Amino acid sequence: MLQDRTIHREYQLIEQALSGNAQAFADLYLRYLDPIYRYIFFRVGEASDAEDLTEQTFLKAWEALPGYRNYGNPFSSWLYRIAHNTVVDYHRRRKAAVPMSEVRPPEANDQAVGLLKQVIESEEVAALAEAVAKLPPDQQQVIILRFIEGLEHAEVARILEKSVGACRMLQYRALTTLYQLMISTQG
Amino acid sequence: MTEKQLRFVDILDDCLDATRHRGASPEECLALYPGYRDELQPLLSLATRLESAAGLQAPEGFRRIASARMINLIAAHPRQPSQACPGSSWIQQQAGGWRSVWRHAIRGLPSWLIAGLLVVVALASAAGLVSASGHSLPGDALYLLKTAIEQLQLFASTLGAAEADLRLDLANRRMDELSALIGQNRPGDMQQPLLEYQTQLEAGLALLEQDGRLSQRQRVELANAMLNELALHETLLNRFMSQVTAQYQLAMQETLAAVHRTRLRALRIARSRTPSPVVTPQFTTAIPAGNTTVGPYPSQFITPGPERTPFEGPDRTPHTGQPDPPQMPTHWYGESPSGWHTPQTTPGPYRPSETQSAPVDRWLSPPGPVDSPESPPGEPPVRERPGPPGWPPRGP
Repeated sequence: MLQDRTIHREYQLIEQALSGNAQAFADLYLRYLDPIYRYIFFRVGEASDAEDLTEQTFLKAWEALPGYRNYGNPFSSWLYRIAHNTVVDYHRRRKAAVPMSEVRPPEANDQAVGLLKQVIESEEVAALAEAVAKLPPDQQQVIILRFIEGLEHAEVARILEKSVGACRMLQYRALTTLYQLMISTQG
Repeated sequence: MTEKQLRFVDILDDCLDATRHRGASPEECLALYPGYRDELQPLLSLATRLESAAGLQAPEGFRRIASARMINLIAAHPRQPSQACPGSSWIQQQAGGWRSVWRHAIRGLPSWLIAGLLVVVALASAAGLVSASGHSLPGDALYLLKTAIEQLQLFASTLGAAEADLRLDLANRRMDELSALIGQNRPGDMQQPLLEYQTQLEAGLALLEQDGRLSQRQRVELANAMLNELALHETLLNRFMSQVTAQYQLAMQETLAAVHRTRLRALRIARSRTPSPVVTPQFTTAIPAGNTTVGPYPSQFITPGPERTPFEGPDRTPHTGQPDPPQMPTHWYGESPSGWHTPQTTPGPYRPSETQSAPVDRWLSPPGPVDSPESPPGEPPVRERPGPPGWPPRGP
């Protein structure tokens, strides 16, 4: 029942945002700020870039909102797709300047991290973020969406536009690769 | 991928599902699959470590200003309707689905048939749009299309009479729009139809007065038709005046004044006749009861006199054996001028002869507060009024 109400409220906010209500969209933004931020953070490995890209993602979502159709898909899945495209553009822009392998993991003394610092001061999370950022993009996505965002295979499959079977296989490969990366880093 | 690897993928997934949804611990899962323990254990452990990062939140400083910043960004980036949707994969899927259905449906059809179907669909859509625009009002999305079509019609009307008739029709449409706008309580949208109405009147009348393509007979017919319509418009405008606020009454008064001016000029045209090639029958007896309105003229002016040709019975066949006079356009009979709503049972081909014509000046300056240009707006014209000088007195 609570979930129904939440979905209903989200639908109302989307409708209001569609009619040009910026405050309603700002409410949606706050609702999805953390998951989208997390998704982006683990894919770019840098807190300040993650903030910028999160903002860009929602700005793109605002502009593209008239094209959003529910069709039984959650709004969040649509946002993840936009976030994915934003991250791809980001890496494309940085490709010449900074190789993916040199993407800096979040640092404990980063000025912009705020509360995030409390979490990532842990070597554990920092190491995880560094390793995830080294994975191929589709493996990054499946790791973040499945284990950090806790999504089910069906939803991950929708976001990645793959079959559930392919996602399960991708999950296996991603976990195996990540494990090997962590071993090599520790070793 | 080997059979063993595929089996391992299933086992891994089952264990992850068990720990996530069924409350099982990693150890319990490993106990279920002892043969895969060495491979399974580090991956389950890694999954648990990853899930611990799920509590990661956006920095508090960023979160605090995020909402306000987003509102500012939105204000600085208004939506571009034509912009591509970066996340519109479902839309694309839907469009792709329809494309697939369409491709399946037309498979095997000859190309000329497909082209024909497309033309029919395009024409039907265009016709539907044009038809829908006919009911649009100022301020509606389709109103631009409506006025564009009207301009095309005007452009295409090469004959002077057709153009004058069309302009009168357009004036009528503007009046209909005004009525609808007032009905919908949208007086703010009345300016355009009011101005356009006056423009059409002026242009139509200019055609009657100056267009060399019009014969004298056409001028008279069109002027009479215009007089008929103007009388109705006057009534409507007076009614609208009572339904709008003072803010809009001034515009109404200006339009009424334009109507009055146009009526004066139309009357001059209607009354300045040249000898018609068609012989006008001379009526010698009274017009049968009921036939009280002929053309735009109030029945009071069509006073039957002894010089008129008698009718033989109700079919009004003149005794003289002369050919029937030319038929007036049907819309001449339909509506009598405002305030003269006398039912008309037999639309007669009667036209006042030269001798019966009232002097134009006298017509324009009636002796009383009648349906004259000087009448105050909104005041119904007096039905009983003496005929113009020179006319025989009313019969009993």
